[in-house]
Amino acid sequence: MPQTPLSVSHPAVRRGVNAGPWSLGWVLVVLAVLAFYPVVFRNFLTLGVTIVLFAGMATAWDVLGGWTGQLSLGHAVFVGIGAYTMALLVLRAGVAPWWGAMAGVGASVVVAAMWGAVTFRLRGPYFALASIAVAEMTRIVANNWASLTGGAEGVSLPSLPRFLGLDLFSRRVEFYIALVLLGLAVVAASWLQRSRFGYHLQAIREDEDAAMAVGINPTRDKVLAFLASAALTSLGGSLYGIFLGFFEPRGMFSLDLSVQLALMAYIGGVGTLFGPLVGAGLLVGGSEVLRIYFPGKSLFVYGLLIILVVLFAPDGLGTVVRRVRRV
Amino acid sequence: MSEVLRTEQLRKLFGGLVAVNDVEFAVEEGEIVGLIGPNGAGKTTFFNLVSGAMRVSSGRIFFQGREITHAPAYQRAELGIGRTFQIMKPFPRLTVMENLLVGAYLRHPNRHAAVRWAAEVIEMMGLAEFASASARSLTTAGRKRLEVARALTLSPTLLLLDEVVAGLNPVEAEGTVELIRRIRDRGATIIMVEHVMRVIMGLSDRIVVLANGSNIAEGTPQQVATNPDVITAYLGTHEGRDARPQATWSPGTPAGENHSARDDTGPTLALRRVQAAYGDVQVLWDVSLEVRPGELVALIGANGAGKTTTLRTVARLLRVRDGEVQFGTNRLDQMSSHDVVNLGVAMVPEGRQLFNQMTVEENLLTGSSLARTRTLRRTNLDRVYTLFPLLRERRRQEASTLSGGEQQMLAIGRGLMSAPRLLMLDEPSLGLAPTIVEEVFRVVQDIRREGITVLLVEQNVQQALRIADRAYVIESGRIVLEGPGPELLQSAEVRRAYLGI
Amino acid sequence: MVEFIQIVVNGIFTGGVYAIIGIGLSLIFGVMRIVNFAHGVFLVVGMFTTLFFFERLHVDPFLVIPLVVLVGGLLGVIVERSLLEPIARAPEHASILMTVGIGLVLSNVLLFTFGDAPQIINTRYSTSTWHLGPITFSTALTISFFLTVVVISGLALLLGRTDLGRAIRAAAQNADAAELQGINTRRVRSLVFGMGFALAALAGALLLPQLFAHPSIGPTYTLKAFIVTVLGGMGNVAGAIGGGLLLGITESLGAAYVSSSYRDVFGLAAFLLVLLLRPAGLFGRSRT
Repeated sequence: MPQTPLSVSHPAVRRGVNAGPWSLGWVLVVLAVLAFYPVVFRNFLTLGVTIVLFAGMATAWDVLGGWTGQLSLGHAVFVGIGAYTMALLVLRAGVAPWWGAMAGVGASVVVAAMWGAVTFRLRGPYFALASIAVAEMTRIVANNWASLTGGAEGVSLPSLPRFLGLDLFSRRVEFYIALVLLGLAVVAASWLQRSRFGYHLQAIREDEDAAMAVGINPTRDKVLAFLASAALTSLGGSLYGIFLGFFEPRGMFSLDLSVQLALMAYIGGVGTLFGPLVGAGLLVGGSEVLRIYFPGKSLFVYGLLIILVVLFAPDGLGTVVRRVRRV
Repeated sequence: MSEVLRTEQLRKLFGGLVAVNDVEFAVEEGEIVGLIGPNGAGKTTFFNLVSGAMRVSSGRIFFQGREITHAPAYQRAELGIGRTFQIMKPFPRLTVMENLLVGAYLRHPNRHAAVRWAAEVIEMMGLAEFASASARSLTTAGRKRLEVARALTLSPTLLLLDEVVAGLNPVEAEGTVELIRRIRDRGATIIMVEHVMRVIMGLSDRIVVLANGSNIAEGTPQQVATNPDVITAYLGTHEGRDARPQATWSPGTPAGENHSARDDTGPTLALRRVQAAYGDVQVLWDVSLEVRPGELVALIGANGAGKTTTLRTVARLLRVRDGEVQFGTNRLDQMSSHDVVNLGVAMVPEGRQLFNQMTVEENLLTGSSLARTRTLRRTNLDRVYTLFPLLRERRRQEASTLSGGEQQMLAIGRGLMSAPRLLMLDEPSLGLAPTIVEEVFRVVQDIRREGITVLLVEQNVQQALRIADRAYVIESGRIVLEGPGPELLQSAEVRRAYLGI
Repeated sequence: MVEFIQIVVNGIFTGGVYAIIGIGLSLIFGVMRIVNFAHGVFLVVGMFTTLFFFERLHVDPFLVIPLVVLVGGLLGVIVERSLLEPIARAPEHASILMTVGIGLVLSNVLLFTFGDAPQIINTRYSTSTWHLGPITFSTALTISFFLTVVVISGLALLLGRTDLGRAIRAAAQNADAAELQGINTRRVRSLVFGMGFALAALAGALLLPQLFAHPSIGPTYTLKAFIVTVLGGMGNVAGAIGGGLLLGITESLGAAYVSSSYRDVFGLAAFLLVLLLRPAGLFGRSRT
């Protein structure tokens, strides 16, 4: 076919599809700005790592939850698999943590494939309920299978080899690794925004029957989205494990963690490039502020925010960002 | 010319109900085939079977000579079967252009080519100016076009169009008709289901008529429109007229006069220039009608004309967009539905809508939920059981275990339990066997003889007109005709409204 | 054998309370089509309300139950009117998020108010028991179970025999048709959410003798409520009784004969299997 310009002149037709380089441009701008965080907020590095890391994992969650519309409340499973696979390989087999993280990705993908194949025929709240059940069972098993996981006592990472000459326990290094991960996730999301596969997922989210009527195989595409989401979340989990240095199944596989990832995406706006980042900033930052004034009660702000968002900004606070995207 | 689609003994059961009954159907390349039939005939179910949205119960489907009976819906789309949905299913949060791009990618994996193809379709469908709007912001007409456009992005060999004209205003409808012609000229084969008879009679090369799931007639539009079986399917039967007890009034005399129990002091229901919509889909454009105390008024019109919507609007299950609904001195359009019931306006909804997991008696008791009627509960229960002795026998049975006719009786009985002054009946004879239909019409007359005003929506036009004092004909959301029932019975206008000729 | 019977009896006692939790959740789902993720937190609210009255007013915990139920019911109606009614027509995930948010806020309010230390109730009869042959019964649990039976029977009568009960069932089966019978379905929704909250609060009070109360245990019970309703069939109130007993007995047997640390896995596994294989629940037909 000759590469002539569009046979139509109406400007709306061009605006009707995401123009392309723009969204990627925004991604680079945002990441570049974030890269200055460690320089500016030298004393709040831990907070910065937490925000960027959770933003990355929430963006990964959003590949399934937001772009594909499948509400998972069990994503902590992949955080846990990422952290534990990495840590156990480091501790038991002396494998380097980055290879451990890769192994975690493999394990997560296998788990997601089985999980998705079995539960994607459930629609609506039933898929969400099933995801909770899977996650809780995983947590209990991890908690009790002490010979493998160290059980409720948890595992700690005493020392790690240097990664390209960098100290993995340094908050600054962790920040930039988290930023790379976030970048990966957001670039993936921006690809979903305009690629063929991305349109498949969005069509499934909007109306599964209509999607099938235009030739989309929903089960296959949902499983693929789940695999991608699980792999990215698992990478985040490995880094989260290093960041914590010490962790136990109760925290790593917890329902709270799963719910937090979903809430971040929803508060910022699901199915948007920067919604999860906005949500993570607000929730992590907000609860950090609250922690200073009311020690130990940080989840309160999560609850309050989510209620306000559902009532007053049902598309998420990040829709402001989304409008920018459409310019 | 070669065969595009063929079905063999195609059958679909829902529970015990046969929705599609051994349908044999074949379409040649390049044809436009109209699929018509009264409400509940199985047209949309047939589409769902062909497109793969539903599994067949038995029978086989061939597309271009290849069996697709068990192929999933997305494979059929790939093979070249495009469809629209009667209940429109756009991808609401995507832009119009993106909606089309989803399908365009199926034939053009390369982004540039896909965008170009989607742009071509959008241009052809006249949607270009809305390309960057989200699909949910479109009007009904726009959404219906989007349905067609999305199906076209598949470059379908066979296009199934489900009610793409109904609900449009005349100008929009004309535009869509023109489009359908153009689509056919580009080489697609089309099967269309449409309630706007003028359109389907004008467009189709061939018409297939379904009734109760079966293929009852087939031929050119002219042949079909004059086929007595088809007329019967649409307008109801004469049969049984002599078998049932003679009506207590004769056509021509003011009907109310024979009803001694009539309450002339009751309130009048009056609709003035009512407009109503489901979301953005406007169904009523201009409905004015009156039901005076003691009258039996019929509201008739083709499928999708707005009959049920009119009743739902009176019952306040639907918001009145504009105009007034008055019952006596009360403005119903400003009340909630339970308050409307409290004023004495009851509705027996289409399809019965019983509380299926409750017993017969519980259903009836629920009908007298209001404080006003609770004190009269025993008396009313006795009245209902006298009217329908069978219900007394079955009073401990769960509603879902009743037969269709019994369920209809129960629904009417439940409506009577609220001691209404005006009873609105929506398609009480729908889906019932002829003898039961007779019974239903007898009951309706009994009810009005007890002094209850009746507003009746019926697809069995002949019977409804015969028992009605007056009737209104509604077409595309507007009242187009009013007159005494028996007089309308002879009217060519009525036939035109139903059959489009 | 004696041991087995003892274990089953314990399971039935706990299962009765689970049934109460499940009935509330099922009523809410049936009428409002909302999966209430705050349900377990409502139960914890009940626990702390009981503790509050017990410590401040020095009244026997079983005597303050009517008060606890009242508080729960009121809170439920308030929450429904102010937070759930406005989003009644929003997409499904909105109500899931909303109830998650409500749960987080409530449990943190409890944390602010009552502190982080696990609390336990001590009464004269906390440790007392009685015997029937070789089987031992805890006095407190026996009273709890007696109340459970009374409450469930009362509910069955309410739902089965009264106008209110029929209105609730009608609204659950077909809201439009219910409106056409003159039922104010908006009021029914508020009422049902109030009842659900009250029942959860009651269950909290009844579980208090055998549990430490802590603001963070809500999600555990939300999960149990889900299990009970899925086993019984979402929206199926009678099924919830069966589901509750089944969960109680399964947990009790699993903990005794397999492993107490895997106690919760059995319920979850059953839950997952039923979701996948019999989504309408074990007791009854699918409802549409």
